Amino acid sequence: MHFPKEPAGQDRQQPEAAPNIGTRWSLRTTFRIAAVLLFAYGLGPAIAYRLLKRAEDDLAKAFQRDLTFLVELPPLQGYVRETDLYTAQFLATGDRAWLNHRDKTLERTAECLGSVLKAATGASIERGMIVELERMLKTHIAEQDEWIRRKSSGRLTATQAAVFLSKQRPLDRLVEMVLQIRRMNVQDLNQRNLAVRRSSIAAFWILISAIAVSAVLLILIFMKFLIDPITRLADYARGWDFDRPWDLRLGPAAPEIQALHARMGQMAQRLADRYKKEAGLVSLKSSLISIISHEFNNALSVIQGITHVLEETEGEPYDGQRRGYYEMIKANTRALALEVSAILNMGRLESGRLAFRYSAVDPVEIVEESLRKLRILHERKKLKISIDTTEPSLRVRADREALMLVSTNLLTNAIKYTPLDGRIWITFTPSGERLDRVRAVFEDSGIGMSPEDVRRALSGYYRTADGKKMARGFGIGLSLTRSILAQHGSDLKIETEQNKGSAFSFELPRWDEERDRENGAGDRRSPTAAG
Amino acid sequence: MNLPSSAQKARLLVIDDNREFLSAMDAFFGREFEIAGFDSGAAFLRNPKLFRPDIIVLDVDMPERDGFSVCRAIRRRKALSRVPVLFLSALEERTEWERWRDAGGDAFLKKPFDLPELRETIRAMLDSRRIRIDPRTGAG
Repeated sequence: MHFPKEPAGQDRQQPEAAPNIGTRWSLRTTFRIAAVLLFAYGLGPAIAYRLLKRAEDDLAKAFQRDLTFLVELPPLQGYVRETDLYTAQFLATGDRAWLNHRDKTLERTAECLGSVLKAATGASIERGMIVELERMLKTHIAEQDEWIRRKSSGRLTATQAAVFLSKQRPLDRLVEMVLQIRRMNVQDLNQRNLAVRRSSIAAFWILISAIAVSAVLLILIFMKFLIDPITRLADYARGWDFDRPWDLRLGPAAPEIQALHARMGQMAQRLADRYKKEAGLVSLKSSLISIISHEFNNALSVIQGITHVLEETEGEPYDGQRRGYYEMIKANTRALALEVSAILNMGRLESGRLAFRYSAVDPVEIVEESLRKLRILHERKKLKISIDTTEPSLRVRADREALMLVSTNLLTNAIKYTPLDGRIWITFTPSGERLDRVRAVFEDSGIGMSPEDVRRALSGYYRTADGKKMARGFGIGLSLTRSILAQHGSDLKIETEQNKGSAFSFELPRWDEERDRENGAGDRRSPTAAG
Repeated sequence: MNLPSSAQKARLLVIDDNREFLSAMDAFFGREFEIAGFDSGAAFLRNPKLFRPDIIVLDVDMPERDGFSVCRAIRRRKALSRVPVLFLSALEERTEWERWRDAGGDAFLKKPFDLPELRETIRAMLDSRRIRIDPRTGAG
């Protein structure tokens, strides 16, 4: 209606902004991004926890292994020594009971070695050393086994046995290796401890930076595309006033906020339009009040003054002047009454309280009746008035009272603006292609109107500057006339020439006995407010 | 020279765009004063020598040139600079006070007025004019 189509109206006012990601991101997208960032924010602690957990697991495993080493290695030393002892006893005595003891000890040795090997997983140095240890042990035992076989088959002399026993020194190296492994374990333990600490510090920093980055990004996104535009919008709305156009340049913002901005712009436009209309109406009414008070005060001054003069001259001989005084009072009172009735009818018509009943009306009769009402006005000006019609019994379809108002107003207007001894013609002629309408013309030899006067007279309450010089009057009569004619589906036309006269004309449908009697007569309806 | 004597009627000039009002003023004061009515300031100022008023009654609300402006034009003419001017207006006197004083007016009456009040005001203004001018003419 009076609004530019859609947000496009606002967009047009703003120069094309450089394409901005933010302007394409809907709120939904923005919230999705926010959710992803929140997920990232959660991922940081998860990674940190996992790092820490692995470091702790590693530490626990290492501890377990070191414990195994510490627990299992010393007995292994003892078993080897025991094995050596049993072997030596057998070689010395040949008693096979020692071999039984030796086998049991070997079993335990194997068990112990197995658990140490199991603890030393992976390709660590410890494992290499333990494998070496196992190999050395196997060689050592195999050597002993060879000696035991010789002894069992009786091929071993006592001297040979003594030599073997003196050579038997695997223990020293073994002990040394075990000690080395334990040293390494302690070192390793420290390193692992350090690694765990480093992991925990790293986890802490990962956590902090994940939080910081997510928070900063979230704040930036929300500031740029949500909070900033909303703040700008709110600030602008706070400073906006009815007489200012809505020309805020929002900048990058979510489409939803841009739509809100466009809607607010439309609303502002609507408010401004309404305000302008109301302000115009207020100034129109105040100028109307000023015109009315001016006219009323003039008429009342005359009436009051003349009454005084009559009072003062009472009892004096009647010299014809007193008659003039009475006529002045009557004319001014009549004019006031007509003006009041025009104002009241205008008010009724505008508020929709003037109901119309259409019937067959004789326009000539109406004009004659209005002239009777206005006699005091036109007789004082000595105007010549004629009514002409081409058909003696012309009937129009109209509301009788309303047509009377139209006729009275147009005649009052003509009388007002026609100087002394002027002329007024009223004519009714059939018109339209099928002659089914009646054209009414109210013409006078008055002061006429300028084109600007006509335009303004038809637009509302108005009275020409020249008209004010000649006689009192209201523009309200013309407004009322136009409104009534509009209700009858007609319009008032003005033809005029300054200082020559004016002709006001309108057309009404001719009364059609068959058609109008059925559906026209008695049709009383309340018109909508005149506009 | 234009000084009204008791034997001579004082001259009252009325300027009002409403002709009905001009004839009413004639009815009000025709017996007492010599009256001339004009429907605009311009109509009078076109040939001011035709009528030398002792007092001027001016309507304020007139089209084209309002009463204040007409009063200023009258005051610029040497012969008329001292003639008392009474303003008549439908406007409130209080709000217009400064304007009519500035324009060179001597009194202000609100329409609709009471005829005795208007008559009294006009008489008082004529009297004060006589008092003001008498000593000077006596001296000259």
